[in-house]
Amino acid sequence: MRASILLLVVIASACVGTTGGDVIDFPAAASGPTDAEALKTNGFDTDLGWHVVLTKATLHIGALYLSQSQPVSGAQATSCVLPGSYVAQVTTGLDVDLLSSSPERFPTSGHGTTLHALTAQVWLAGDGDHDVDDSSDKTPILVVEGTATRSGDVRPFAGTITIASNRVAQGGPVAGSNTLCKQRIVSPIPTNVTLAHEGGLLLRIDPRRLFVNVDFAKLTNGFTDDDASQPTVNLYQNLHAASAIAPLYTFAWDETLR
Amino acid sequence: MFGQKQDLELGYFARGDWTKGTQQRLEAATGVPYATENDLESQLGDLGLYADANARALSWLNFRGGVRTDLFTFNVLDNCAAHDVAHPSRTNPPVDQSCLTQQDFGRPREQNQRTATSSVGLLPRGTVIVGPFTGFSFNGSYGKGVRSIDPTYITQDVKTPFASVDAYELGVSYGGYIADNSFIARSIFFETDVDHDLIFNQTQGRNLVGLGTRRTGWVGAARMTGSFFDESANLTLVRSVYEDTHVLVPYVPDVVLRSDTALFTYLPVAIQGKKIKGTLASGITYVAPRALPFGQRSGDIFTVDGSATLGWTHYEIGLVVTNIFDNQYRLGEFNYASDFHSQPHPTLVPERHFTAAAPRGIFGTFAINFGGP
Repeated sequence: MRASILLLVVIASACVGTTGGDVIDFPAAASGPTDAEALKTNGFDTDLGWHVVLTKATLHIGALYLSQSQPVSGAQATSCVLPGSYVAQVTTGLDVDLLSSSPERFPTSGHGTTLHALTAQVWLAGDGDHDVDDSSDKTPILVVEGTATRSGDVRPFAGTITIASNRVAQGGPVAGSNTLCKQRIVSPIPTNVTLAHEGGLLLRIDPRRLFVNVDFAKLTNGFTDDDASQPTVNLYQNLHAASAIAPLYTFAWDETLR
Repeated sequence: MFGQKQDLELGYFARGDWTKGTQQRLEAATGVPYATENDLESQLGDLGLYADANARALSWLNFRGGVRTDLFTFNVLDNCAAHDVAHPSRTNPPVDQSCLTQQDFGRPREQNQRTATSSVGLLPRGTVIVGPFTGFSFNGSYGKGVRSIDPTYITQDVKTPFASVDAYELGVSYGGYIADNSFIARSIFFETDVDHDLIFNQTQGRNLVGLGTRRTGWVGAARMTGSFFDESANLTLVRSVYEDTHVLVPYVPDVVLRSDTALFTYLPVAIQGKKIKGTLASGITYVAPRALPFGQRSGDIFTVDGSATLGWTHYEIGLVVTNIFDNQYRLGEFNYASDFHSQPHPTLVPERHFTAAAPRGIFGTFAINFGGP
């Protein structure tokens, strides 16, 4: 009897321990900044002196990814997929109202591991049965409406941005450098997030960053879905801002998210 | 010496391996290879000299030990030596080739490259055996070993890093008779330290040299043989951890149990004056849930195999049934990222994958034994 008990204790002690980390499903949500509502009522000032009041600002996000790796910058061609291990993924899309500070849940849970993420990717792509390099996917990614004012110059504006064949370079993509996925994936976004069993992933998107260096004086017919004018080019480039300073996209682990 | 017989053995060991290995990635739908990971032709030589002694100080005290030195030589021809180039030619950059013919700034090179090196390892070992006392013997052992590494890690004229293993054992064994049945049993506590262990890598689909690991465990084994039966069972418990982080090494089972039982007798049937021998046998295997990456555990494995045979002179016919209870279990389980294009956006986070084990199998056998009693 004693021997049996001892054997069970030994077997039980052999079956403990972990390889580290855990696999989890988690809620994910996105919203505008915490003061998003004020952007509709009070507006904000841009770096070029325009006072902008937004009446509409929505961004379609196709997917989110968090990664453990921090790519080394260099001149070499890079892949659209980051090297190393991914920590989390949210693979169903959501139209995010950037003028609302209330987090809106992605339709399905994210999936990941309880590890630390250093970088993130925001996939600005549609939800249909399209590959990320499919140039026929004309899902509206960014829709903005509002009014810009400077020294009595009032400029109502509107625009819808897509990322499709209109973003492919003349002559087609060059290997490793200008594939459509590079246009659709904002990467790498510096991030400092550790996934946990409690809480969820919250992405806040600040629409003020979209209008950095956008000169509304050169805007004649609203934002067009091409690179015909300085404001349109800068709005499109700002959509891809992955800077850690004054970021457009900010990821956080929100323990209150259920 | 000391009134006891002493043994000393000197010898050598020589081994040569000529291997050729290719690892390619195949398109799932067509089987067409689209990338070459490795294409190696290797010549590995191992020349060992050893001295082994068995010194009996007393009738109940033995010292066994020795030392062995091994010279390992490596000669590797890598037929796909360059997989990437930091600064490719601007006018003719490689696109999808696996084995490049271009080096920095577009300068040409051949696809292959030969590397050769050698190393020497000194491997001591020793055992102290106390006993037997009424069938019981106690022993303690230490040994050092090396494992030759993968040819992909060979670097020209650089001392090759062996995977070095230090092993310790402490155990007790018994040999005797119980009710006229032969009985042997042993209980051993062990620890092995490997400085560069082979760890399964799901991306490469094979074991790669990894970090140092420590395995601590116990193995118990017993065998009883009688006039009509033979039973052998062993149980291994092991805790395998990385030496730096002390987290578990994935894919290593903590508990493995194996039992083999055979019943045999001559049947009261004779052909040409020779009796027919009947044998029933079973094998039971249990493998406890294995640690998987990211804190996961696999399912356990429990299988029972059986066989029945009839033997007459040199001939034997039999029926073998594997996985008698037709258990549905996972033979191999893994946790890694994969994308089967099941949805618009790729799945890049590790998910559970498994290979299904074989269902019940029924086999007929016929054998002719040559020689023997």
